[in-house]
Amino acid sequence: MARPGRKELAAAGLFVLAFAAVPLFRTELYPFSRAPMFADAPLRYCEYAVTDPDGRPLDLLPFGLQRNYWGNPIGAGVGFLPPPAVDVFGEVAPSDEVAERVRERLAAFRELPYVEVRQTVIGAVDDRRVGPVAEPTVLRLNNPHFRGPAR
Amino acid sequence: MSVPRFLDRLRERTLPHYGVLVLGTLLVSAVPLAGYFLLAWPGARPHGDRTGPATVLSFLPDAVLLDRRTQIVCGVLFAAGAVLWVTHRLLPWSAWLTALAFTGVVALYAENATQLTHVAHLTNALLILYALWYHTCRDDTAAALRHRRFWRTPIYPRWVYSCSVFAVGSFYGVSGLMKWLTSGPGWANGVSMQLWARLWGDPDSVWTRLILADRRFAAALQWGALVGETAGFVAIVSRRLRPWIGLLLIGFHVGQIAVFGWGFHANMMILALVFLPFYEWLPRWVARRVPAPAVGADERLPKGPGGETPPLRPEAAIGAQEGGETPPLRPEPAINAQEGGETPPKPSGAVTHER
Repeated sequence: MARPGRKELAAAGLFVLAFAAVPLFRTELYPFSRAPMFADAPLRYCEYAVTDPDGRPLDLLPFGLQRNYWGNPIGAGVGFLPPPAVDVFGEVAPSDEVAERVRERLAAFRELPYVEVRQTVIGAVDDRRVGPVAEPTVLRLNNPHFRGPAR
Repeated sequence: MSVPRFLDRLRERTLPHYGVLVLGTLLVSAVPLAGYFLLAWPGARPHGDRTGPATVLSFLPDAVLLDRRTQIVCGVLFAAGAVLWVTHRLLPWSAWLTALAFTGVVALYAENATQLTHVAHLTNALLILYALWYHTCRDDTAAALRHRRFWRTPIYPRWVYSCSVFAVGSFYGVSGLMKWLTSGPGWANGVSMQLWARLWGDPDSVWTRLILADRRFAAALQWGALVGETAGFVAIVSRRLRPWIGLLLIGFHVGQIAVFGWGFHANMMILALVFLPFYEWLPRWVARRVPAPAVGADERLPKGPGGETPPLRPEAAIGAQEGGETPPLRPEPAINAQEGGETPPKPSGAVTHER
């Protein structure tokens, strides 16, 4: 005859084993998790802005300049990767990489002769505060796919 | 403590008040969480390539995982299960239905999302644990309910509480450990906290303004978070430090909510119930307020095979396991033990006070 409570202890052991062991093999496998949120320690990030020739702001997503960062490792514990982006939180993308990515996307904006991309690096400005660490980098990128009337 | 004694201790049972308080809190917390994950269905948002496995449901075909109706069905089942569980109907299956349907609601959100939040993990883990409790103690629970003695039957096993402590402690401990492993002590540099506060902080919050105004303050908060989270491991083994670590982590969440507004309210309540000494306080509080069974109450107890009133399990005494005072209330023993169930351990006579 089984001792009283043996099944209970087996259940308890299984629970502890599952919640201790699964995170050893997978960062995220909901409801198991290593809880990796905000484990990074970024020292800077970039803010992007894209404007048309009239100075109107454009959505960043079609240009691949959106920020995918939400404190968690990208793609961990979710079914889909975010849309590809040049922005990696904590890093400053080189201007030529930004320009190349945006030019690729300009095919979808044939009515625009060019766009302006503004990259602002946010980081420590002194030993107390954070903010823009320098003047923004502004790129004027002509659209090789432009089919509209000349401006 | 020897292993057999440790295992015996895990099998100790108390009256169900603490367990029901935690369970009620879990269900009350789980309803808005499930509502959030149902309403925030991310299916139509832009995304990149499919990845995974992301959840325990990832083995299912995409036709199921990516269909919103699957999540809605889980939501309906969760609501139905929670009502049945609260009203003690269809046990233990209503408990499993609730826990697994809640898992489905959140997992299906994650399967369709590009971003994950960790607001539901602890609630989910404890719902599974409490379903395990109702499953393994289903005979005792059913008998207690049948005889209308649920609240007077020592039916809450200590292993449920111990596993709760483990789940909460390891969740925060691993989170702290990840910060050490990913970034080292430099994680608490203050700059990262200021960047996060600049990005997502409530600009009207005085706490956001303080963080942005002074890096030393931001770094101090980060150190508090890092120490508090890592100390989750310590809280698993140290009963004396557990309340202090609980208070530190509750403060950590209060700060998060004040600055970022993130919905870790359920975690705060779980931390309070598991890390603060409610497990010890509540039985004493109940013992002081619930009158002892009236004279002759034993006549209502089911009789053993020989017609004798079964002996009281010494471990059933309220507070006896936690070094409390000798309880004025004598809880009634688990019923199945007297109904042809397995023989309970023999009482040693005097109630021992253990620490």
